[in-house]
Parts: sequence; C-alpha cells; structure tokens
Amino acid sequence: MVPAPPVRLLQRIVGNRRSVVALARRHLLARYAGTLLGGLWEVLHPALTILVLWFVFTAAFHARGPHDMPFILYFVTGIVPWLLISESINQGTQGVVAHGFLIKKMVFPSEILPFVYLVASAVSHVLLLGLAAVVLLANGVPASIFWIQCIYYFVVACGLVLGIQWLLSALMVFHRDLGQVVGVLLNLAFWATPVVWVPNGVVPPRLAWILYANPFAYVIDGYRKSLLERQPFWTDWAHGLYVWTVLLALLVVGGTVFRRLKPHFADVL
Amino acid sequence: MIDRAASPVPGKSNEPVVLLEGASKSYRLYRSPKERLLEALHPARRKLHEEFWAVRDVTLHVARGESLGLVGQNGAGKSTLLQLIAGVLTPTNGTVRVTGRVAALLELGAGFNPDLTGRENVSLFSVIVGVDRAAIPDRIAAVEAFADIGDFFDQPMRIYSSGMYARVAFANAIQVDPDLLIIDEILGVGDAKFQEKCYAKIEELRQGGTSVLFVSHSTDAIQRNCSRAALLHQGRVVTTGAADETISAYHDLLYGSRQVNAPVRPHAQPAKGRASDVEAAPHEGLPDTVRELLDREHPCHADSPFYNRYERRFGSREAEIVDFCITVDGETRFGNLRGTETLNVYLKVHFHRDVPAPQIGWGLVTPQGLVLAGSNTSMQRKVLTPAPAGSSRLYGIELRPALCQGEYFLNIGVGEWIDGAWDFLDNRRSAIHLTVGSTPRGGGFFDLPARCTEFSMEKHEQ
Repeated sequence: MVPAPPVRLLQRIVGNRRSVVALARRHLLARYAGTLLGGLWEVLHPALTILVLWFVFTAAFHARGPHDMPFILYFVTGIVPWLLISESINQGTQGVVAHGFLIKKMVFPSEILPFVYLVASAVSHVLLLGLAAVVLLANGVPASIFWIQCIYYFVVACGLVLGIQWLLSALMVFHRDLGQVVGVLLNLAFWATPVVWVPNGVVPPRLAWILYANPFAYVIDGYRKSLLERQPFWTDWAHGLYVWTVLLALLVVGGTVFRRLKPHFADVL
Repeated sequence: MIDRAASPVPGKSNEPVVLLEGASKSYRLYRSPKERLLEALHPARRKLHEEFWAVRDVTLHVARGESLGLVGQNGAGKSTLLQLIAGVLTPTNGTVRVTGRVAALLELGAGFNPDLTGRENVSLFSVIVGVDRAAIPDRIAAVEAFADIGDFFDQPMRIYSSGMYARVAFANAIQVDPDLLIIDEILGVGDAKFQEKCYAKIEELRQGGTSVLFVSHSTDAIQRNCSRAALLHQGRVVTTGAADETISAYHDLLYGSRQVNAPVRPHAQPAKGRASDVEAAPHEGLPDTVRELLDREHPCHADSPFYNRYERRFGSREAEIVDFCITVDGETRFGNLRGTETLNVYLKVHFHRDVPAPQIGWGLVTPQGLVLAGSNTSMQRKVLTPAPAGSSRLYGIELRPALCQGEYFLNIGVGEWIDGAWDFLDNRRSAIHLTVGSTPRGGGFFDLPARCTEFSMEKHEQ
C-alpha cells in the first residue's frame, strides 16, 4: 500500500535527515567561504543589522517601546524571529535552483530542501536568541518559564516558512524573476509586521485587520508575549486557530505545487 | 514506473541488473516556461505541449557483471536512456527496473557543486547516497588517492580542468561499490594514462560482478571494454549484439545514411584543379598483375597475402572497391617487407550510380588503431574523372612509407565529394596487412633519414 503524500514526505525527511544536516552545514560554510571570520558572520551580520536599526530608531526617531519600555527590548524580541522568517524564505526560494547540480545528475529527494534552509536559519536563530536573552537580562528583565514558549512560536514560524518555501522554490525554477520579487515582498512584509514600530495608536482601526490577518505578526507578537509580557500562548486562542489554518493551507498548497512541479525540475534546470 | 530494490537480492544473481521493457520517454516541448507551469498546475489538466519521443519502446537487459556499450549519433537518445536507468528521469511508458546500487557519471558533473572543493563534494555526496558516517573518511581518502590530482583536491571544483573533474567524478563513482556503473562519455577527457587506469578499474569491478553501461563516441573504447553493444537510432534500439557487429552497423548508419537521404547533385563541385588534370593515365606499362586485375571477372584480392580477412568495412557501397592488388617495387612479392620498398596499391572500383566527383583515400594505421599517416585525393588536389553508373575505374596509390619493424594496416576507401564534405561510399579499414621484418637501422614506426657524425674538437690538428 502506498502511504498518503504527507506520510511519505515525513518518511523521506526522516530517512534523509543526515543529508539535510550535511546540506545545511554546507550551505552555511559556503556562504562565508573565503571570509576571515567565517561562520561568525552568520551571527555578526544580523547582530550589526539589529544594532544599526536600533541606533536609527532610538537616536533619530526617539522610539520608545509600549508602556515606556526601553526600545531595545521591544525591538530585539521582534527582529530576532523576523530574521528567521525572512532569511529562510529569501534563501529557501533559491533552494531548488541552487541544488540543480544534484537534481539533474542523481536521484535526489528535492522536497527536503526547504528543511535544509530551515535548519541553517535555525542555527543563527538560536544564537541570536541567546544574544537577545543577554540584552534582556542586562536590562533587568528576569528570566521566566514563559521563555520556553518561544519553541511553540518557532514551530509556527517554521510551518509557515515551509509551505511558502515549497511554493516559491518550485515556482522559482520556472520564473527566475521570482527571486527579485520575493526580496521586495519581504521588505514590504517587514514594514507590514510590527517589528520596529509599535502598533498601539499607529494603526488606524479600519486597517487593524491587516495586522490580524498577517500570520507573521502572530509569531512576532508571540515571541514578545513569551519573553517580555509573560503571557501564556493560549490566551489568544482564536487568533492561534486562524494562524494554524493559514499554516496548514500553506503546507497543502505549497506541498501540492511542489509535488506537481517536481517531475519537471530535471527537464528545466 | 520505477522499481528500485535497495540492495541486490542474494541468491538471484542470474537476474539482470537492468531490465527495460518497452521503456519510452517523451519530452514535452513548450513554447515558453510559462506554458509548462500553467499546464502542470492547471486544475483541468489542459494540454499545452507538443511531444517529442527521445526514447521509444526500448527493451534491454544488462546481466550481472556484463558490460554493455551504447552507440548512436548525437540526439539518438543515449543520454536520456542513461538518465532513465539512473532514475533521474521517469519513463513516460514502460518499465525500468534496476536492481542494486547505481553509480552514474552522467556527462560532466555527476552531482558536484562547482563552488565546493573536491573533498567537500565527495563528502557531501557520501552523505546523500547514505554511506555510513564512520566509513566516510576512508571513502574520501580512497577517492583522493584514485583521482590523484594533488593539492587540487582541496580547491573549488570550478577551477578544475575538465580532466581533473573527470578524475574526481570517476573516482567518486567507483567508490560506492556499485552494482551498476553508468559512464556517459566522461572518460574521453582524461589523459591516456588515467584512461588506462579507469579501464583497468572498470574491468576489476566487472570481474567482481559490477555491470557497466558505457556510452562513448569512441568506438575503439566500446570495442575494448564491452562484449555487447546496442545501437540507438532516433530513440529506438536498432541493433543489439556483439560489440563489433553493432559498431559496424553504427558505421553504416554514420557514413551510409546521408547517401540514402541526400539527393545527388548533378554538378557537384569537384576539388580545384585544371581541366587537363582530369584525365586518366594510360595503363600500358603496368605490371602484369595489374593487367590481370583488370581482366579478371571475379575478385581475387582475398587470395593476396596482404589481405586482412578481419577488415572493417562500412559505407553505402554505392561505389565498391571490388578488387585490389599490391606490387612491391613493381613486382608481385610475398612475405615480410624490408620497409623501404615502394608499394603500389591498385584498386578496381565499380560505380553503381553516377559519382561526379569520386575521391580515393588511404591511411596507414597500427594494429592498435593509431593513424600514422593518411590522405586522400581531395587533400592532394587531385581530380578524378566523373564516374557514370555501371562503370569501373582503376586507381593506383603509390606509397614509400619507410617503415620500421612491426605490423601495419592500410585503410583504403572510395568516397565522394558532396556539398563540401566527404562521404564514404566504401571504406575498407585495415584491408591490407603489412609486416615489416627486422630493421636493425632503427625502431619505432618510421625510419627517419637521420644520421650522427662526430666532429673533431681540436683547433689545430696536424
């Protein structure tokens, strides 16, 4: 009996877990090949980005967090999960094209590629999260049991990213312009998600639904709830239900598109 | 449908490693990538493509430990067939069954990322194909040793020469202990020494039970390495059989097919030459043997001591070398040559159709197939008279090769000059066998007119 597609997929991923790790490691090393600091850039680059944005927003715009919280606390808890989302989508879109050398010449389970980029992004995410924890503790935010909730929001972020990656990386094979479009869309999504700005009082009520509909906002908000506000994740269960629906829909659509396009990869690449 | 067993089934070693039954592969040709995308995602599965059958109804088997060659013109479907067997492509119709582990060297590349070093690529490849974690360092060391490219192994593969690339690719492929090794043309780029090493390794693997599928445009390589060969033409297997028979069929296809399709131009452009050259020399004063050659009804060249029964013959045969004879220094002689004689090869050619610009060609080769020298009338700007259908012509080739001790073969052929290109009508490779006896003056192939002199270094010698 042939198992259903999701089961088969799961089997394939578990069976190829060593390949996933090896490819992710390869991806990280190749990115910084020839640089002096090597893998350190994986953390240094986002850390510096965070520093620049934080500087601009505090020094130039005198930004404050909600309830007069120092801006850095609000900002760092938002940007760290956002970088996980944007980096893995941005690079995952190139996934199939970048691994054309394997797909064309050998029997290669290309559906594992989004996981490769997730694993790679997760490495720097964990490191950055550690950095964020240091910032939090230094600013007098006590560590709490609610920090563990980040795992839940991390899983949600990964689920969303996975569906999007399957969709985009498969379409990318046929339309290379997509890579550019994704960059622009991610930029747009960055500003449509409350990462650097505080929604209270900024968003007019008639546009508030955009914030609600944006599943990334749920993730970002969730990280803040866990790290700063000490709120359990189930308080906003209705929103959670909505986001999980979106997540599953993305997985089904992305997975189906990928499965339908996969036989064409070797022909087009 | 691809059926891929994870490991060979013990005790069933007589089962073929590769079994294709009616396998076909059609490529869908789209006017743009957009249409391809649209079709793949179309909810009603609308058809937007035209079909091109790259491989059609192929039934083929490769037994354990057998080495099968694949020949065919460019675009005959060889690479597609290999990709089907390697599992990179899925057949449109029919079945492809492969038992055991496959190592594929498909063109140049073989699953390597040019930005990674040889070592990194081999390591990554090992993980992907599922080599035990503990066995990976040993495997990398073995690949490095076989490839033997020194420090380049730790350089990005994009800076490799094609030869180095092939070395690493081949070394990598054979180090998985495959049940089936697929080699597509890749060894052609290695140097002679590495090729030798590869062929020896292939032979060793074959002895150990590995089956080999071998694609090459070098028919010599096929003949050396394969017992059986299949000829592909326009996606179909035309011939399967002993390697030399298949290669003969391939040569017929290569050099004979154009004649069938191409219309004969009534005034084909002959090679440049003055009109006065276009005149046959009188045959008075030729040796008696040649007179006999002219007069005799039935060809007797097979009786000549110089004739090689194992000659390879191909071409459309619309003109035929029906008979030939050889004189040595103007006489009919037998036995070994001294090497310095003048050889005259007389060819009797019969034309079955009008050939406005006939050409005669010849070549001197070693038993290994190395061409020592060769030329033809068009290269030598010699114009031969047009030959009408049904006519016969006598041509003589005079050679003074100055050979050293050894065995040599002469290729002879009649061709035609069509549209600025040669076309073989009857090519008889290695038809004449020459044996040169002891030549104490020198060794090698040719007796170079070289000598050594000693000069005095004394300034004033009295």
